[in-house]
Amino acid sequence: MFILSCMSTASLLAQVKISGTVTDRNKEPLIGVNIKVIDSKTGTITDINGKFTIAVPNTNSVIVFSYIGYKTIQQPVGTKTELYLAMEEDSKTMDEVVVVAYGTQKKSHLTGAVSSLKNDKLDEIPVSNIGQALQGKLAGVQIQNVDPEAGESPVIRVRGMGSISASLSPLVVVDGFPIPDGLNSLSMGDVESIEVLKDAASAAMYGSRAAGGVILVTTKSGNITKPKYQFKMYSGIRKALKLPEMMSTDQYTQLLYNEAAMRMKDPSVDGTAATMKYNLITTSEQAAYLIGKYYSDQPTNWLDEGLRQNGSSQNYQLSASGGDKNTKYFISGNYTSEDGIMKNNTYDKYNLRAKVDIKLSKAVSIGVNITPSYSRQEKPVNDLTDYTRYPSWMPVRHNAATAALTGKVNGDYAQASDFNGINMSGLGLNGETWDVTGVSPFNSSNQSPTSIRERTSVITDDYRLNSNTYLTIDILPGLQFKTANGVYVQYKEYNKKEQTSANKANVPNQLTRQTTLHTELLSENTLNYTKKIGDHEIGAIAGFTIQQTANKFNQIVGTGFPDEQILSFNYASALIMDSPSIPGTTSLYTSEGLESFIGRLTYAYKNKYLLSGSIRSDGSAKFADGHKWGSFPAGSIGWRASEESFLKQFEWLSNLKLRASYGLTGNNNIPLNSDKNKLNTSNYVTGAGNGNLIAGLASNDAFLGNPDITWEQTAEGNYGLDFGLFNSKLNVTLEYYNSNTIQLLLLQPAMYITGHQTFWNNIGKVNNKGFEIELTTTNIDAKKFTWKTTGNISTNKNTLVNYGDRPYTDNFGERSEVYRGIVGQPSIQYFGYKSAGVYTTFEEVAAAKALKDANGVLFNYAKFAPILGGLKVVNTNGDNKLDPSDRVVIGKPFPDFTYGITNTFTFYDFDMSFLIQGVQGVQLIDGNLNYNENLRLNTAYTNNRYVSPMFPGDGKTVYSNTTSGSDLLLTDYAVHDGSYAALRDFTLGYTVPKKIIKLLGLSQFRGYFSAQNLIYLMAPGYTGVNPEARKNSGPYSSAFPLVDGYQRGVFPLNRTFTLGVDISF
Amino acid sequence: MKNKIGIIIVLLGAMFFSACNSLITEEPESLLNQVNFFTTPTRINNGIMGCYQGMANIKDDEWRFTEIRSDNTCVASVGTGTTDRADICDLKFFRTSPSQNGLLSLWYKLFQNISNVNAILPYVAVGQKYDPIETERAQYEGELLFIRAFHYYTLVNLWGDMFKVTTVIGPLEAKKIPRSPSIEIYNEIIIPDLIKAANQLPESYSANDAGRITKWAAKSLLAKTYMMLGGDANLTLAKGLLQEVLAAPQHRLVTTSNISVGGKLLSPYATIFDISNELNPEIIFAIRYKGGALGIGSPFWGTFAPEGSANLFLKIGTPVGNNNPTPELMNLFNANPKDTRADACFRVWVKGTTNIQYVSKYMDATMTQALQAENDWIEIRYADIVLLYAEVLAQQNDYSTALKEVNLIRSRAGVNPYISFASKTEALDSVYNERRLELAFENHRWFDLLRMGKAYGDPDKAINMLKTSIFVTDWTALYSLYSPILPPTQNNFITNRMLLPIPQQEIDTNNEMVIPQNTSY
Repeated sequence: MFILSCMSTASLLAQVKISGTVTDRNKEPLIGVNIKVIDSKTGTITDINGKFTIAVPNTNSVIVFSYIGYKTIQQPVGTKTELYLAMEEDSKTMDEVVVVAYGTQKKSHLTGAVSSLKNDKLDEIPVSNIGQALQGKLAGVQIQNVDPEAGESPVIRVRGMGSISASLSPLVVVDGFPIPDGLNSLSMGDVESIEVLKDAASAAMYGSRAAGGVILVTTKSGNITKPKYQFKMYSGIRKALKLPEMMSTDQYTQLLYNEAAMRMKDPSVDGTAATMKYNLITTSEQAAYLIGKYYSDQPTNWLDEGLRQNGSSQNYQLSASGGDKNTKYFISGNYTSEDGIMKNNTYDKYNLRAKVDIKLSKAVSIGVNITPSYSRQEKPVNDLTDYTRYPSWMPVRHNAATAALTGKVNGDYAQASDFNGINMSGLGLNGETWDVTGVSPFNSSNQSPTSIRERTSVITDDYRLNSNTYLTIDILPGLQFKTANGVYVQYKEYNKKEQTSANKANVPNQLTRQTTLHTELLSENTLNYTKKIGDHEIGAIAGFTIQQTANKFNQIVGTGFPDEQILSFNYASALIMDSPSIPGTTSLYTSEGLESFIGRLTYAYKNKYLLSGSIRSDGSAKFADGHKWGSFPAGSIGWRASEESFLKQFEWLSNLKLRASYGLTGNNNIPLNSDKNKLNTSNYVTGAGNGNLIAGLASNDAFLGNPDITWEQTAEGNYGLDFGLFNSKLNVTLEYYNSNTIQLLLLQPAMYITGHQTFWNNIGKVNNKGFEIELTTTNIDAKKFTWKTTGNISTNKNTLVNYGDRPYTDNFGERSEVYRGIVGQPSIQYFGYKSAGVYTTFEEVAAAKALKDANGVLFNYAKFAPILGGLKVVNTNGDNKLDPSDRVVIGKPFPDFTYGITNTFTFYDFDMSFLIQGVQGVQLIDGNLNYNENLRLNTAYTNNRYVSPMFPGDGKTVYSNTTSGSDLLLTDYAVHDGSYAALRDFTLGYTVPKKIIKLLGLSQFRGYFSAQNLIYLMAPGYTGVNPEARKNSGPYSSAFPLVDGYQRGVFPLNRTFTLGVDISF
Repeated sequence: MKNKIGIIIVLLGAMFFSACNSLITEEPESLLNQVNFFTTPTRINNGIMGCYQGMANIKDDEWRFTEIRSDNTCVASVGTGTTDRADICDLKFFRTSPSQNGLLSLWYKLFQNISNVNAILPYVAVGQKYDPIETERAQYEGELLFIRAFHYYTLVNLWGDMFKVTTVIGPLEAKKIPRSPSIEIYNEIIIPDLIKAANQLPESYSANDAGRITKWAAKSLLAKTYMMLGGDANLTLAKGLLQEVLAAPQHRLVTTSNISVGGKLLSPYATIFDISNELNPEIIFAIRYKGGALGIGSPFWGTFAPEGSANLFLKIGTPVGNNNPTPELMNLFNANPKDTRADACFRVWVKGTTNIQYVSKYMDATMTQALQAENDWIEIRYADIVLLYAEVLAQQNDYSTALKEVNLIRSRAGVNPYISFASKTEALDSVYNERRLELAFENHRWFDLLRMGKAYGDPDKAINMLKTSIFVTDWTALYSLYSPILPPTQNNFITNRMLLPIPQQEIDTNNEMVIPQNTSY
């Protein structure tokens, strides 16, 4: 006793007080560094300035400084009383924590396939949607900007196409809350990190909705610091990368005459001017030329009518964060604004976020996260085809001359129909007088695109509120109860205002309003247990969740307003009722519930042997009794080989881990009530005279109810290998996966004698397998110069293994082009006729016409008449008959592989990074070919075209589709290589040295220049302007996943240049 | 501390469990379904109204397969290139393929409405839950049976042997139903359903319900059915029914006019179709439409108005210009300048130097929405019955009575009466000719052509008439202009092809059994 007290007295007496500062290598203070004196109970942590004071027993004491992610330092005290330490980052022991389903996990203990991305300058990429900023950065995650309009969201696919009927979009979970279209409402500046759960085992905890993969977004939180303010902004312009090259009427007429001159030289063309063999100009084209030359003031550049010279992008973000031991906060505001390169295309978004975490007592913590946001999008009402198909002779508005010619009013919009049946005469291009009577130089009953655009407005307002709270209670050591409750409310209002005659002449003005109120209520309740006993680490989680989703959709269509500016329903003279032919006033109120039980067990032995198993059971309102519940189990194992003693000796091997997982995920993304025959409005008229409307009901839905349907299931095996070499200077992750989606929720054709067209069924199987490589290298790590590379490449092979008992399935686009899924091949392939250039000689045409089938019958030329300059459609089965049996696979919308490589350099205070991103081996269908006007005027389709046998052009380009007799869209003539490689993002930044900004009272000041799509390579033969775009409405909408890869009227790619600053204080 | 935590957990648990009742079993508020639905008179009436509307849906498509395929109409600007036109031309030229555009659509709409009828029928059967007022129940059942018989009548006449569907069927059940011989459809569905309907339906309705199917409509359709089957016994049955309808107090031939348009008195014939004179005594059964923004308007005026005429004739929307009168039919009208029916049936628009003829029977000058006109589609009218009666009489060699009936129609039209019929052929020729003029563009011609084989005792009578019309009468004036695109396909004009092919998709969908296609396809 005495000795003990003596010693303590002695130690007290001999105490030495040490103070100091701990920083990182950039001299930034490190907060919360653990400081302990060896062989003593004394310890402390550094404060918000990185400072500490500690009493040590004597000068022989050794102080240990430790901090997650940094190399531990053992510092003998010696005679110093003040210490300045700079801690080095330790890549080897740095054990990052990644967010997983319902919790976090040490990266080293991860056994599934999870791609993780920290928000390191991602918010400097000038895009309004987070998804777009992720393009090319995650292996196995294909992100495609199918629509370059401002405010549009990209299509995201994780590991290919699992389901083929039900929805394929990944589930987005923001801070633990699944949010429909969650990526749209977020601001990149608020994002801390993004994790993608790619394999079924990782995603299975989200069971029913995880078949399309899961994207976990973690937003920024406050830290223990004094208040920290950050202001970030960028501003810049966007331009069209490539535009279609359109000929003016003058140029086009000239082309016709040049071609006529060529035919004159060709002795095989035995025509005379009278029979028009030489000159294929029509009277309509003559009229067009004459009007352009003598009536219109100047040629109209219709592209300029639709596109802006410059669009713009702006973003402002202001945040405040900080906290102390008990309270942490992060509050931010963000404003994003985009003006697309299309006229009448703008997007503005306002976001607020308030996140507060409070420790109420030693055992109880609560937190709230409230994020209101508002966005407004104005969409262009026409697509690009509407502008490119219009000829330049058409004035936008009548001038005196065209008004006199057509009898219309000077200054009114000029419409194609105004010029119908005109009579005129004038000096033609060939010096002769052209008389045209009763011709219509441009046939269209639609109004001109400019008059449509200026008299129509399409605006969507979107109000979102995501608000959630959590409460955790530490019941026993290691055992925590957590209840998280949240509400997500989205109110969306779409207003389409069409003035009188906006689209077609004399159509009365009309206002269409669609409002959607979407609410989600979610309650998740879990018990979490972690325990470490010696070398054993156990984690367990069990809980139940309940979610209710409600959708209230209303559509009102009013017409007959007194004035073009008064488009308000109280002044409508009539409301339009809904009918199959005309969308009108209707509403749809639905709600559905989902109840789930979850459980997971993880186990690690000696940090080497890892084991995990989980299960989730979901009950869904979408299925009939007895089919409601589905269970989604998963298991995974891992072996950290590098922790084994026999490998530890190899200094160069910093990490080696082998992983395998297997799990089941589900999908119930089909419309409600698919198990029953629905009833729709089917009103009728009874009563004397003209009668009155009587309410009627009938099952006129395409869907035949099937009470037997239940969950679609995806079983996926994933095999992964992680290794790091040379002190983690090179880190590689390899993944191989093989997933089978079984009992597909498949929309099958019904016998129409049932009175319905399709029904949902659980039948068929799709396989997806692929490789993913993720690579991170530190190439140069000098003090003043660093170079890091991260890259990824992924492949996915999609196979339709079974399609019920059918050998294939056909799906159709807007022009009846066929998308065929053949068993044993990819789920979608374009299916059509093969072509072999164009007919360039009389002999070829004659030979083709003379072909007879086995019965000696000449074949029917209904669609494919052999004609000079027309497409040579191949009779692939050799029966001398061109019929549907000659169709073959002519392309696919799935790429062979996708890749992204980011290089980051720092040089003194400069930094530079660029991302090269690309897609290889994908084919597209060019729907513009179906528009004769486009085809005629677009040089991409007329260059090198066939003229006459002596001047066959390149032998591949048809003269025009009206004379070829072929529907080009159904042939491989319309299929192009859609591969591309792009210098997607480029950033050059400068960070002002600390010394200087300290004088200004700032903690950081950075300025940067950023550009997107600086270089963009498209595949040879690609005739369009945007290989990434896809038509995504009508038969191409997400409701029809088996129709994909079609382009028509897409707007051009954007090239953006922005300047930005980032200021912290 | 521990206690507080315990209390919190208990409270949370209680909240949670009280919240989760029936979340996964509730029905969505605005998605109705057929299961156990038609359990009240109001709901049954709503369902029946839905079936009436189903008939209107069918009419939207039917003209392609009845008028275009006959010698009454064609497409004025053949081969202008749009897919739809090419497909209509294929119908005209008997090149109909099993994948024909529009074929599946008509087929689908017919079976859709049959399915809707079948869904309600069990609820109005005798002895079912719904049995409050017998007359009401009987009427409802009669209306539904009429509608189903009406659709099966169309189905067997256009396609022949037919799938027998008399209950609501599921996806797998449907694949087990074979095509039944058409006579079986007549004997087991069409005739018994119509007899029952004729017995149960009222002769007329109150003003609010005016326009619903009556006893007379059922008897008329039954008479048509017997005439289509032919043979002495059936003709006798038909004759009796026709006489009953002709004597119906609610109906008569409209022979006077008190409607003027633009200061000009309409002909009595034209008043039948005038939108201010709907449900006139001539009308035995009409499928009803209502203009405006209600979504239940008639599409015909917009579809038939001449293409390119913008808003010259059609007040709103784009004139499509389908279903134009053939030169042959116009000449037939014009042969008699006094015929007041010509002006009511078609007009000619002089566009530049070309004449474009178009069907004007369904003109509505008051339209306010595209494809939403007021005009009812007259399905059965008194003149039709008069001429059917004349047809039966001609077949039964009672030429003088037949002559009297035909002349009733002719004199109303302002045309000189026939003096006499010297032979059966002359009588039949005159009756069919009169039907063609009187009922032009009302989708009767095709069914008339189908009856001709038996009436004349020549199975190829109709097909030869069609061939003459296209390849002789109208060839030079019309089709030769397009011959490079539409080569003569006379070989396709065979009597077997009077039946349409079963839609290919329907054959392909059935993987349980092979559905035979009609011969010659």
